[in-house]
Amino acid sequence: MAGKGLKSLSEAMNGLRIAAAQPCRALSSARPSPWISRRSMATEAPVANITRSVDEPWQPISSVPVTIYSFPTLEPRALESWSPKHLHLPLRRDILHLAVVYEGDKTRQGTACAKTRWEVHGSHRKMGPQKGSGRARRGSKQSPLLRGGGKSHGPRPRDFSTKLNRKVYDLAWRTALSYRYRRGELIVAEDGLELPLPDDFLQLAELGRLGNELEDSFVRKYIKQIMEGLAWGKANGRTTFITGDRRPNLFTGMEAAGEDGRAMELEDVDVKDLLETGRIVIERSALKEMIKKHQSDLVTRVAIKGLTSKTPPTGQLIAV
Amino acid sequence: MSRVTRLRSAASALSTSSSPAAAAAGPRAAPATCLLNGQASTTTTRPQLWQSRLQTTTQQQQQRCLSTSTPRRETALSNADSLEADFVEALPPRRRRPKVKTDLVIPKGIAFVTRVDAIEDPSYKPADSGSGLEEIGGLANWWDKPGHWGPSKEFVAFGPLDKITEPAMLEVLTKRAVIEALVLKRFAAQKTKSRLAMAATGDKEELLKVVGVELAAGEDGAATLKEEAGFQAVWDAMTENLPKVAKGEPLPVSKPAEPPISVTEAQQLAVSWGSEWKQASLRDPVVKFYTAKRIQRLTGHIISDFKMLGINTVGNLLSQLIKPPKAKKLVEELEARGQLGELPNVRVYPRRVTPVDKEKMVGRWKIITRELEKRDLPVIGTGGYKKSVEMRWASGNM
Repeated sequence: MAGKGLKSLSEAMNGLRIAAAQPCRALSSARPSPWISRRSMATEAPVANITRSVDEPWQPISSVPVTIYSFPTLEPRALESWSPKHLHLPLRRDILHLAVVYEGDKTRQGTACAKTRWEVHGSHRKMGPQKGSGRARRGSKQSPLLRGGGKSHGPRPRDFSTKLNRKVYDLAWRTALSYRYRRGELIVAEDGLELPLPDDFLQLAELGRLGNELEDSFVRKYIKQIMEGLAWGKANGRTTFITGDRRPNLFTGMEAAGEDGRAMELEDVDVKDLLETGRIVIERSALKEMIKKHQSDLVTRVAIKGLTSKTPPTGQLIAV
Repeated sequence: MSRVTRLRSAASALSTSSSPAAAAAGPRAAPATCLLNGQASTTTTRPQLWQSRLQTTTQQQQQRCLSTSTPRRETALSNADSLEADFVEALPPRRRRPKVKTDLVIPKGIAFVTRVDAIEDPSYKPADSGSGLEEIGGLANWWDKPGHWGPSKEFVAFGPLDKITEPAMLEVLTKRAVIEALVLKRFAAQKTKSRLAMAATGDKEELLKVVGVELAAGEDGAATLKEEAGFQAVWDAMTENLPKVAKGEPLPVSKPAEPPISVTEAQQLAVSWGSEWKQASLRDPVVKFYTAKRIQRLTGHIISDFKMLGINTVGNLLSQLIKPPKAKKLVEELEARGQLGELPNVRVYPRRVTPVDKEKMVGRWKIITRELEKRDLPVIGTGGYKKSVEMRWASGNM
């Protein structure tokens, strides 16, 4: 201990010595700069006034509003309050990238397979004498050096999937949703999101008066009108509809009008889908379920005195 | 056109006559073939279900298959007669068809075309290829043809599809929306009435009544009506001409009306109010929600939730809606100010003066064009000719 103390003391003395040797070190750097660099520049920007007054301390947002719309009229039906930890996370492109790469790796089929020399069909008879022919020595015709032979180090079926911590992946989901929310591209629809087709068309279709082609073109035109009216169509980057389960009219209709968007069930959606089209139209219950499934970083299983920290609630009704 | 596949899928009767070889081979007794206008398309069958919300649950559970969706009979192409018979049988009998009240125009009946072998005109010569032949029938663009699409099928949204962009009009309607939102919050307990009032557009009298109430900042700076009596007055004006809807019934979706006042009237109103009311703060999320809803209904602007979060005053809201006018070009600005125009040695052009412009000014461009055309050289651009290779060699840049 004493040795260490002495060592540090001598270090401190050394420091002093240097300071003593160059007493004006700090001043020397403040030497006046050359005249030419001191003149004011024409393009000089004024100093930004970003200083905050202490009187109004910064208060983080405690909740964000979410309007619940009806579809397809887009009438605002209710207002809900959501946690910023669900829909107002900062954009983390790195985390989104990790999630998209992770999903891409996981979905790789990995079935590419080339035959090795042991799998190529045929006799393993020696093709020629080992010596004396003046040519290269050739064992069997499956040799990788020969045409029609096996492939050395070729692709074999394998699993390409990589790993990602669950909390990071869940954060990516909510980051993607938050990104959409901030851009006004997350439209939450009432439960039971479905395409209401006109009654007379349904009757005609049921009676079989139209046929596949007319039915399809009717629905295509009907959807196109809606999508153009709401500025959701192809010209505006298409739209992804997400519902809890398959809705017959919406799903079949979006298949017919695929250039204007697509419809997906909640279980088929991944982070990349949330980032892809111009906007996401999601059913309220589907959004709740999605967030409930992807909040592992907010849920703790550690209990102190029998109490766990609360998970932020999803969607509290404020106004109708 | 997809005539071959369409017919093959419906009854495959005509596909024989569409290919000459098969037509020659097949036995043919019937003098005419039929083209079904209605039955169309696709070679594959698919489970397609269009469901109505009005159906009962048992009906919903039962998977409804359309007659067109049922798997079609695959029959051999050679026996055209039996196919035709099948085809006619497959048609539902006309008398039993129930009537459907619709404004859609759907294709009717069957059009008959004389078969190639039954044509007696000696001058008739079958075409070798389909190019240049007139297309008959087909259902492509059926709904785009005039009169086929019913007017009741037009899309009606909550707000007008063409957004209102006139700044003065937006100012008037925003003031109306904020006042109505404050009143709606006060009378939110009357659920049916307030729901109807939120979707109403109202006439000119109502608009002037509502907008005539003074909007100001309260003690805490929040927007409120200057006089307490204003709340009741606005509520009365809003609920005066509401349509009657029974409890629990869905609201009728009506097309939003045009604003009842003209732009000049709106400008006069906006000027008369001054700008003090724009300072009032909007922080209550419920008032903001009602405001956004009324603005959507009246102007067609949909303000996203995140933008609404950042809006704290009426002025903020207005700046979100009103698009600033496009910046003037330098030429327009100079013209407006009348600068530089009098100077004898200065000329102002609306765009860059190109080399071609310079040639035109001295009257040389016509000659250049003529000479270039005479030599078969491109008039503008390089026409794909590159710099000489020798230049490249000389510069040492191989």
